Amino acid sequence: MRKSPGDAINAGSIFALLFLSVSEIELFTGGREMIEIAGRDVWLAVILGGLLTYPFLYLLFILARRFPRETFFEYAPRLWSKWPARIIVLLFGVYAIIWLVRMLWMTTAFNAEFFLPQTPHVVVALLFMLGVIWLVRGGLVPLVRFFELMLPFFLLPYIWVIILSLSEMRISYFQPVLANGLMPVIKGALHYCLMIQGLEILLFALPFTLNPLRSRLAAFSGLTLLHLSSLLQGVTILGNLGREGTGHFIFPGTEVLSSLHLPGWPVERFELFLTLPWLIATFTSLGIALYLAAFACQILLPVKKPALVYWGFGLAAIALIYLFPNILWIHLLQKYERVLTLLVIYLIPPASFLLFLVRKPEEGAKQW
Amino acid sequence: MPFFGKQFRRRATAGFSPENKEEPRLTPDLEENLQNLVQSLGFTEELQVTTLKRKKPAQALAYLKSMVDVNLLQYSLNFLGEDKELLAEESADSFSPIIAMLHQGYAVLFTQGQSKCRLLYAPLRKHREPKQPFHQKSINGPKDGFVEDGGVNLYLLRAKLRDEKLRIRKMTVGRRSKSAVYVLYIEDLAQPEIVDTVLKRLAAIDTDTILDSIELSQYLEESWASPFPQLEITERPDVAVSSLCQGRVAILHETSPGLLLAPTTFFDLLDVPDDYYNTWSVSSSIIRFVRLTAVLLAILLPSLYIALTAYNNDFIPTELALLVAVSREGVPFPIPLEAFMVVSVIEFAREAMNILPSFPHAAIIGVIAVALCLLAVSANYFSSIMVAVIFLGLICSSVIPDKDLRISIRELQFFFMLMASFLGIFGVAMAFFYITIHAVNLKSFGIPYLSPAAPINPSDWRRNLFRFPIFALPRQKTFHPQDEKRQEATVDRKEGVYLEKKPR
Repeated sequence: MRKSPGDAINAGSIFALLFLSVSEIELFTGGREMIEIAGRDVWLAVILGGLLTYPFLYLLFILARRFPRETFFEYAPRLWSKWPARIIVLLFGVYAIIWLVRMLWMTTAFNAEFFLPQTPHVVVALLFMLGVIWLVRGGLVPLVRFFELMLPFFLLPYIWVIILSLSEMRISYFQPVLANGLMPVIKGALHYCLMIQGLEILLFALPFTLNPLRSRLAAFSGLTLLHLSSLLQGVTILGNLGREGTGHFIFPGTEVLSSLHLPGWPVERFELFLTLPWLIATFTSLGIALYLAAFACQILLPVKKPALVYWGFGLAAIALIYLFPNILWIHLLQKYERVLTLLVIYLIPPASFLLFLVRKPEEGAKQW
Repeated sequence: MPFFGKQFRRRATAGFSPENKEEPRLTPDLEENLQNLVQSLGFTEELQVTTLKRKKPAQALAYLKSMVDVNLLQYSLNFLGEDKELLAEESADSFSPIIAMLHQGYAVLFTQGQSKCRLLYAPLRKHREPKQPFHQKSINGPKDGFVEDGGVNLYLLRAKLRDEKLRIRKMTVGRRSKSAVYVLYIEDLAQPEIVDTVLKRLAAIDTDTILDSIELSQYLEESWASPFPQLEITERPDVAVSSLCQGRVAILHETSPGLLLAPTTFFDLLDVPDDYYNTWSVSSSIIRFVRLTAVLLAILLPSLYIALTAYNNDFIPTELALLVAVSREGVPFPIPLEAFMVVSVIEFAREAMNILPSFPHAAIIGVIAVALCLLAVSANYFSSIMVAVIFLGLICSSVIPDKDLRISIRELQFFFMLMASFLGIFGVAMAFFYITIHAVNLKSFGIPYLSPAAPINPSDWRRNLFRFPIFALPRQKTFHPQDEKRQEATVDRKEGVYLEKKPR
């Protein structure tokens, strides 16, 4: 809950928060899965999936406006009553922990591939978590400020590489359109919806905003930019590598950039422009995941020292990455995560809104 | 001595000690009061006591010679003539406040038969001329600067800001130095919470001496461990007035030419007065962009060089990598160690230049440092590219206008280099994240340090990141001024004339 004017978040900050919360490592790997499902019509799937997310975003706003000074965890008991609310908070917590562990695993693997092949994973994970814990300990407001500051460092190189990769596309890779009918497109759209993790942060950030209308505009703009970048990512991968070529690579986004050759440019490996956006996207998403996990824990357990929770979850996440020996296990974990994403973003908030309409609880009434 | 009568001097036999003796009080007996005054002071070399025997009842004037302007005192007494009742009356019945007043430049007039005394303010002012500050020069702007006298500094401010809402609160800090500190703000602009915070922090200072604004700033800062300065120090009255008009609070130490401005953001420290005195605002905006880029380069350049050449050399094109390899041919040290050695040479030279007393000495050290590096390159101790990179970083850091920030950035560079030495480009990124996390958590008097970049406040970008034409500059919302609207001139572009000024 917002306690003082200094805790407020600008409406414009919601743009940065939403964009960077959702942008994560999948921005560079997700294109492969989408092309596997939707084939040449990946662009249609992204557009359709993107359109599907807007009503849910709007619903999050409507729900948050009903409780303008409280976060979802604070008003959940009044909507769901005590024990179902506890289960919901637990679901959010588990979802956040899985998200945290999966991302940390991917981060260390990616890092070993590109930057520090000889450094033990634990060192990289520890350095990441040290920063993330420090960031999250200050609460949501410094977290949002960090996102705001990082946004230009993320966007500028990212837009640059997208523009670069558009230069060598082949239109023939997209033809014929809808060759396999509508079903792959619909499947791809649903899959894309489940990839959009991080929308739920609005349930916790909106109580801190001063201007709800501007926040809504900022959130819709942020989500639109995200869909646009996903669309461009999918289009450039398919347009450069083709459907068959995409399947050969774990990180097709980087392969696209590796294959670029621009005469006159003194750069040989354009994919390295993605270094900063990737690190920022990973760091910010880890921050959101740790914040959610720790917040859920503080709601469920009577914790006197929140710092212990952050350290506990951070160190536990580092330990948990050793449970997954290879990327196949991580893909399995991701499947469970998708189920939780469905619950956390697409089922629980709408159901909460329906419950609000039925029960009409008063704001500020007794909570836990 | 036309006015003063017989000189009255007496050596004190023992100083007043609150532990072993009750504090004396003023009595109707003139002689006893003078005795007590001398004893309370504990010294008399400085004390000048003049009895006025021609007067009935008898009077005595006491003051500290080093603190009082005798000519001004005599002039004042002549002007007042017999009507001494006009003098301020000290109603305290103890000597402590009287002694405090004596140290501030007051003369004390005792009268036989009265248990009260009267005070006349005639301070001896010794200060240099208000010249342009050495570290904050302006080519187009005014050439005056604060001096080591609070009264003159207040005059310089008043001369530029004749607002009746300007409030000046005087406080005393330091148990022994008893230095006066003035807190200035515009009542209908400054956020009361910020003013209260400043006053509370000043009141909470409990120390023997505060000799300068820099010392004072260390008591007022939110985080002592932060490398970033949280108070801006200026010696320019125009900067101080401009800041007051943004809703900031100025803190003036009576014997310091540095005026503290609170709250302070990172971008305030990158401001240069000439940004506002350039007639073409676009050039100022470009210069600001150059300055921001220089800050980033000053921090990142040496560490990026280490990371890209020692660890992640697949990040750089083959031709460039070959060039680096050729320049390093025969250099016996690994790249990180070489970088630290070159930076150390520069830091030693810089420190020597700071300490040495005069320009020629400092210049000689500079030349020696450059010659040393060149010799080291020709002897294959250092590679030429390394020296070029480190020198470029040095030039970039010199672009930063605030001295404290400049030093901090130089020191942060070592942290980045260390991270790059162990972890390559990943280490540089982590160091960047850590510093950013610290900065986003930092506040100056409740105001986020990185405002208006984080939290984003686009209207303030017109003043902080860019420099819009002077008539289009908004009042900064960063400091939450009570009156956010600034009176702007309405310009009719077609006619090319300024219309009547009106509030928006």
